[in-house]
Amino acid sequence: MSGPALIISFFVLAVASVASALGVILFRNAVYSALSLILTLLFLAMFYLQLGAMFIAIVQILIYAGAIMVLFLFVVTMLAADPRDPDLQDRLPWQRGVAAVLGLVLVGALSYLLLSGTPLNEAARAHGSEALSQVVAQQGNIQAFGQALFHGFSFAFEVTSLVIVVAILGALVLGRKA
Amino acid sequence: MSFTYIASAADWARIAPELVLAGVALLILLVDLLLPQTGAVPRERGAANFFVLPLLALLGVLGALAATIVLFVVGDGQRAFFGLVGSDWGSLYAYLAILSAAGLGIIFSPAYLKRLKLVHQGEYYALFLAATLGMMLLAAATSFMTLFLGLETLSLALYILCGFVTRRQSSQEAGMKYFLLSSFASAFLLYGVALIYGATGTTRFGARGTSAFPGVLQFLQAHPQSTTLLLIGIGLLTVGFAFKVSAIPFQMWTPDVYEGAPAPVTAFMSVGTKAAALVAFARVFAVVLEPVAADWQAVVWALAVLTMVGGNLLALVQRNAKRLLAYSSVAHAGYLLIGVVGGGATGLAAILFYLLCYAFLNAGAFGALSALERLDNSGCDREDLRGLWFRRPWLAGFLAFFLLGLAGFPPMAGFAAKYYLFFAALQGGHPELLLIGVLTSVLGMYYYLRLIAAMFMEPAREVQAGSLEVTPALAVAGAGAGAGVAPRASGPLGRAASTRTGGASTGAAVAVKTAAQATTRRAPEVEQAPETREQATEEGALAGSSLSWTTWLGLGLAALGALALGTVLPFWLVDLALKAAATL
Repeated sequence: MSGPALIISFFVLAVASVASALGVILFRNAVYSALSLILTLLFLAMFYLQLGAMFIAIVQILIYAGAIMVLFLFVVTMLAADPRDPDLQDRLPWQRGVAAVLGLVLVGALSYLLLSGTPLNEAARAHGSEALSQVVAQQGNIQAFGQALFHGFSFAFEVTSLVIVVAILGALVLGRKA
Repeated sequence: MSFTYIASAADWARIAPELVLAGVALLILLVDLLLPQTGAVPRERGAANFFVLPLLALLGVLGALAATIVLFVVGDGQRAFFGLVGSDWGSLYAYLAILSAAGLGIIFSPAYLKRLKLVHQGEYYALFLAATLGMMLLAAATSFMTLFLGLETLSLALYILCGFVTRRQSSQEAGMKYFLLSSFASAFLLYGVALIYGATGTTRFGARGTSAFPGVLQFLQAHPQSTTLLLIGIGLLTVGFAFKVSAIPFQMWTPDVYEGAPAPVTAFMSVGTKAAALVAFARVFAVVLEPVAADWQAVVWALAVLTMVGGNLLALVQRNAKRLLAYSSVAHAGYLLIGVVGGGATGLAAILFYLLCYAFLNAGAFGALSALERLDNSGCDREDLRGLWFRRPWLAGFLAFFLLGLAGFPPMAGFAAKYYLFFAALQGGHPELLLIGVLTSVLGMYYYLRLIAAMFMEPAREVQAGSLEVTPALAVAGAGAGAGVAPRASGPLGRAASTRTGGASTGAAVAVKTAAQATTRRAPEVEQAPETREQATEEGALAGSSLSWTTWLGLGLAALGALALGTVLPFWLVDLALKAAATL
């Protein structure tokens, strides 16, 4: 995809994702918020697709839109909170102002970085000892990822399994009735 | 670069200590399942829980220690698994500190767990070993990937261990607080790692002097000017690390978590996390990011000064011994950061040696407190420690020994460690840090000595049982007298009080007021009174029981280690640390 098609699809996605992201914070109903978060994540996945990052797009859908958001929805529906509950009133109203200012700072800093063309960065790309871009060019995205995962980074992959065992143990300990 | 990579036997041999621990941790879970747990023998009494499992865990730690020593002697010190994890002497030296702390923590555990009547110990010891493994991975990480994974392994295991006493609210709170804040810090760290990857194109650290696995170090040597991306990445990385070593201003979680967690876990995590995180901190900053040192040095300098001064000042005002030790551990993190700022082989060697000494001293101090702690987490206030020397002289002696060591008095390890660290500050060209370090150490001596003075010189408060029974009566007397119906409402003691104050209404009012104040101050104690008394008798019974020998063993080992490190071994160990630091 290139030229006008890219530009048009980008703007369509941009508007859609911002709109659904606004929905996350503006809906009063928590279920609606969660659903529009799913929508936002789907749009993000499409951004990745547009950039040619096939694998990340699929992982985004599988893990975030699929697994994590299902968990969110479970929690939201099981612990359905009454919006009129006085405990849910905003106790720190000044936080909103601070959040707005900090958000503006973040947007400003990021746009400054992007617009001032911080080298992102040819030297780094040339140096990269992983040099994945070559493999990507030769064989494609998912193959490159698989090779990195099961060859170069197999140790990290194995350690991750240990982290998951610890997490399961933790769920067991905390979830068990004393 | 193509990915034709096959794990060789040599790679596995280089991570032998980790392998031993992982194997034993899984084995413990299996053994826990197979142990005879008949309904007739309650789990909290059976020998299985209090003998087999800790022994197995201890054997795991000893096995890992043996593997570490073998690697010291015959290992080639090369990076394993495509440059992801190191087996250099620096990592091995950190293993020594981490494994010592883990071993001591495990030795302190059975008596404590028995007192708190905790079952499900298979998970406890498995998580203990998993946390140890995570710390070792963090200390040995030579890639941001391994670094993050090690950090997550140790943090996840520790969240659960902190909240392990499900019946104690402060323990649950500690687990939750640690989980939320630490996840936040991990996110910072991960963001920093991602940005550094973006700026340099690699996640590997790269070794000094070889081009075997080029990484960030080689990139920075080739492009020493730092980009904005790199700077932001370093900043976020600093936040993540500062949280983990509990440097000020990222120390807020430390006292609450150290206080609420089970004492043996605190003994282990206060040392192990600090050792692992500081070695990783030192490796990342003083070695890998050394070419851009000018960019981060001022920040870490400020962190060190703030942490030294703030940690010691905050420790001054603590009344609870566990909180005091928590703030003192913050202060020690400040001293250790001197080594990162000073850098060079001397600075790194000083960090390694200090961590080893600190492991024995701090684990010992928390171990001594573990023998005092009650189920509701009381028993460690200065009030409770007062006159400990007259009640339990050995325990008081041990605690005083470790506190003196932490304060840096000569015969113990603390002095040699501090001396060497301050020497490193001087060598690294930071005499001002030396000055601040010495001054704050003097400040530190004050609160350690005050605690010791409370144990040895102040008489114990009058037996609590009596005074606690008196106070409710006084409360009634106070309330009643305020309404002008004192004699009718109060118990015998209240009547005595009112007769003593006589009929003069003004005098009575004043006296009653003070009494009422006293009662309100004591109100929480009154609520706990029955339980406290029960615990007290239980504690008394336990003092003579067969299990507390493990605590004595742990205390003895820690004291022996601290003394040996301070008197016989320092020169040899510092020499070893110097050689180890050169390989970091």
